[in-house]
Parts: sequence; structure tokens; C-alpha cells
Amino acid sequence: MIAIENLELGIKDPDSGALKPVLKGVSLELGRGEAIGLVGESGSGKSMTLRCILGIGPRNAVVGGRIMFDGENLRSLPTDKMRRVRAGRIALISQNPHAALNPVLPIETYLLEGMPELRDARAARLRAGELLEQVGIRSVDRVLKSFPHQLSGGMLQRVVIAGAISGKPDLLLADEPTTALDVTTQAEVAAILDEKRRDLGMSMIFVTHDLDLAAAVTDRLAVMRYGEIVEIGTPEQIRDNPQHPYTRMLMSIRPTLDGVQAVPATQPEIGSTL
Amino acid sequence: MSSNIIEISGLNKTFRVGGKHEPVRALDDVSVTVREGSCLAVVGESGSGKTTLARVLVGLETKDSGEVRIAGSPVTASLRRREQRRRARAVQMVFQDPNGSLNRRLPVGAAVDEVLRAHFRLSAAERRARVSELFRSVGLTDAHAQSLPANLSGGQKQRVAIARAFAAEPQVIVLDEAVSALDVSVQAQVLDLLHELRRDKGLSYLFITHDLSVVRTIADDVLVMRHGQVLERGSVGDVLDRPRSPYTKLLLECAPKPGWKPRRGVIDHLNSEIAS
Repeated sequence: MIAIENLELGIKDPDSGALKPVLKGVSLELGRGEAIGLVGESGSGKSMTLRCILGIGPRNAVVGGRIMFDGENLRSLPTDKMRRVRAGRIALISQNPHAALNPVLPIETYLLEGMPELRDARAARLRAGELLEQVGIRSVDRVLKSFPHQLSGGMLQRVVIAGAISGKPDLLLADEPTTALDVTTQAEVAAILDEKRRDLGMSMIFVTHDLDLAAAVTDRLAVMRYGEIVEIGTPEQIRDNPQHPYTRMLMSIRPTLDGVQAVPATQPEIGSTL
Repeated sequence: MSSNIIEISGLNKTFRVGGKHEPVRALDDVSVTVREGSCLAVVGESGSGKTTLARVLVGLETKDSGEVRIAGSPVTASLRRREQRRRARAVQMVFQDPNGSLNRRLPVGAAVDEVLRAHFRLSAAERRARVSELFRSVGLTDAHAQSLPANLSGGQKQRVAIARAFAAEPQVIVLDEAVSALDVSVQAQVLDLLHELRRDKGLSYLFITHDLSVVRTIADDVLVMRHGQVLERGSVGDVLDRPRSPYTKLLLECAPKPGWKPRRGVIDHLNSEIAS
């Protein structure tokens, strides 16, 4: 489905011209219908990897490596073709749903925008309502007429998921999609995302800092640190038998409900990485 | 029997939200006590009233009715400077976002020095020594003290905010989501630090969080809030291992943990159970 091959990204300092490495050779393969979790702390490069797939890296970025998507290298695709890939085949759900929604347009317009093939207004409305029902929204008519500021964060994130799945994309990129939500809403939204992805057979890259959450909705986990993938494995492998010292450190220091929390063997130096 | 450092009883607070909307009851007959030298975690989701509780406690917000006492003396949102200063000595607050509480043009050491100048009669040399000592106690150096906030990481800035809270030598520190924005490795260090400082100085914490999983590491007791009401309170062991309120059970069930799978409809199910 998608194969990221030795992806490198550096950000050029506009004054000195020095290159600050952000991704240092990331390689990742994802099969059709497979979900992988990219986990790591801030600055590990997990979001930047997603941005490279969509070709929306930061300005001053120098990128190397290939991103093979169904046999084509996305990195060398002409702009109009890349735009078509973004429109129909890869969908992004970000942490902040407000970033995806135009504040002065109602939800209905947002959803209809994504289905230009439905010329008939009534059919399109029906489809929009159907999508909202699929993501567990009951008061469909009210939500369709609402503006983003009138809905809660959990509701908006469901709307964005509805928009993302409306075109039945091949690949779903989810960047901390539930991080800003309350824990109960997070459980609901994560369940919806998981269910819809399976129903529609979509592949997914799920970026999060929460190992347990990633383990619950993906088939494999890739642990990232300082722009590199340090370990890939099934959630069970990562949990029960982590190989890399960093993964072991992450597993041991994360706070848990049952309170079994070991003292980290290798605490990062205060003042250096902190 | 140890005495209570914080005593809050029958506290009410409503916010008018304008227009045709009903006023929001942010705090609805809330009573809380914190034993001297202990840490009480206040847990709840957005809109539960946990932050309003903290703000009333430190005098940033007026109350509608009810009583708030810290170390026996009543807290009012008074504009009198003497009153404000006295309270600032007794209770300090650490916020989620250290950027919001640090002046970005002031070296962080000077930000801590301000607190010393406000509360203590010390010579410049004594203050310098004290700032240095405070920075050391949170694992930072004199070099950090001379930096501007922009040159420090999130974890370092949160340590500065903690050092500044300690500078006033308060009896109570209110921590409002103080570790929520930090990476887990940094979070573990800051939690360790808070634990150590409490043990050494014998002060009391009100620890506000949405994250149940950090509660066991830091708190002695837990208070669960929802829609401005206290639903459950007890020791950490009781509330996390033997929750009585259906809502606490829901919170525990929804928190990701090894082997956990998110399920749809859990909220509806428990909502109806809570309502009945």
C-alpha cells in the first residue's frame, strides 16, 4: 500500500544555512487494511513523517528518500496529481478539528464539499446525514446546520472523521486525533475510528504519544525517537518484550492506573534533552 | 489526628454566559478538605469545575456562597494588597502552560527573584543565593536562571514555575494540570521532584488533573468531580480500586491501558446509569 523508504528531512536555518536534521532515514511499510501506530515523545518526528506523506512539509525543509504509494513515488508526483491523491486517496485527521473546518461555514457545507460527484443536492444531503449517523451522531439535522463553534470538540472530531471517510480513501493519517478530548470522549472517538477503518478496509497511520491507546487501535507499533524508528513490533511484542532501551524506558516510566511503576533505569540527563 | 490545611464547605459559583443561556453552575455545593501535609487529587473532565475550584481557592475568582479556609483563615477575593500578599504567601499555584506565567523578556531567575523581593526582607546577595538554591532544588543550574524562557524546554520552564511557587515558602501549592502537557519521560521527573519537595518541606498539594493514571504516583486522596459536583472522594486505593460512583467506573474503564479496547456506546450506557 505505502512504503516509506529512507525518508530524511532537514530544516535549513535561513541565516546560517545550517541543516537541522528532523528525520534521519525513516523506513516503514504498510499493507492494505493494516494500521500502524507511530509513537514517541515531542520532537521524535512522528507528525513530520505524516506531513511528508502529504507533501506538506515545512518551508526551508530539505527532503530525501522515497514515499511509494501504490507503485508511485509521491515525492516526484506533479502538483496536480498530488492534489488528486490528497483529495481522494489519503485523508488526514489532525488533533485540532477546528483546523479542518471553516469557522464561517456550516457543517453541511464542509461535508458536501467532499462529494462533488453528487450533483443532486438532496442525495448529497442524505449522504452527509448518513455519514454523521455512521460516526454516532444522532441529532443529524441539528449538527448539519451548526457552525463549528456551536459543537463540542468530540462532536467536531466525529464530523472530521465523517468527512475523512466520505471519499473512502485508501489511507487514513490520524495525528493525535483524540489527544485534545476528554477520556470518555476519547474512548468513543477511538472506537468509532477503529470500527470505520475496519469496515471500509482502510490502512491507517495513527500518531500518538500514548502507547496503550496506539496498541488498542493498531496492528503494529513503531517507536520513534529523534527522527528515527528505534523499534517496530506488534503491540504485544512492544509491551511484553521491548528490545530497544528507549522503548523499555518509555514502557517503564509511563504512569499507569495500577500503579506498577518502576524507576527508569536510564533517566535522561536534566538540562540536556529535557 | 492531623488538622486540615484546606477547608472548603458548601461552595457555590455560577457563571453568567450571556444571551438566553442558563447560567452555568461551575461549583454546586462543593465541600473539600485537605489534611496538612497530604496531596489531594481533583479529577474530572472538562466542565467539571476543577479549575474553578482552584481559582476560587487562590482568590482569582469570587465565590457566590460557601466558605473557604486555608490554615484556618478565610479566603476572599479581596482587592486589598495586604490581604493578597498574605494569601500569596500561604498558597501558590502552578499552571499547565508555563509560558503563560513567565515574562518572556525576563530571565527566569529574575522571575523567581521577584517573589523573594515581594515577600521577604533579604539583601541582594541573600536573594542571589536563595535563587541559586531554589534552582538547584528543582534540578536546574545558575546558567538556567540567566536564560530567557524561550531558551528553555517545556519541562525546564515547568521546573522554573515550580521553583517560583516554592520561593514564597507557601503552605499549600495548587497544581492545575501542571504535568499534563509534558512528555512522559519529563512528566516522570517532574512528578518525582514534586514528591520529593513535598516530603522535604512538609507542605500540602491540591493536584488538579484529567489524567487518572498519574494520580496513584502523586496523591494520597482523590476527589472526583462532574458538572460542578463532587461525586466521590476517598483514598487513592479506595477510589481507583473500589470505585463506588458509576462515573468513576466509567473514567477508569475509558482510560487506555494494556490489553484495553475502546468500545462504542460505553458513555451512553453509563450516562443512563448515572442519570437513574
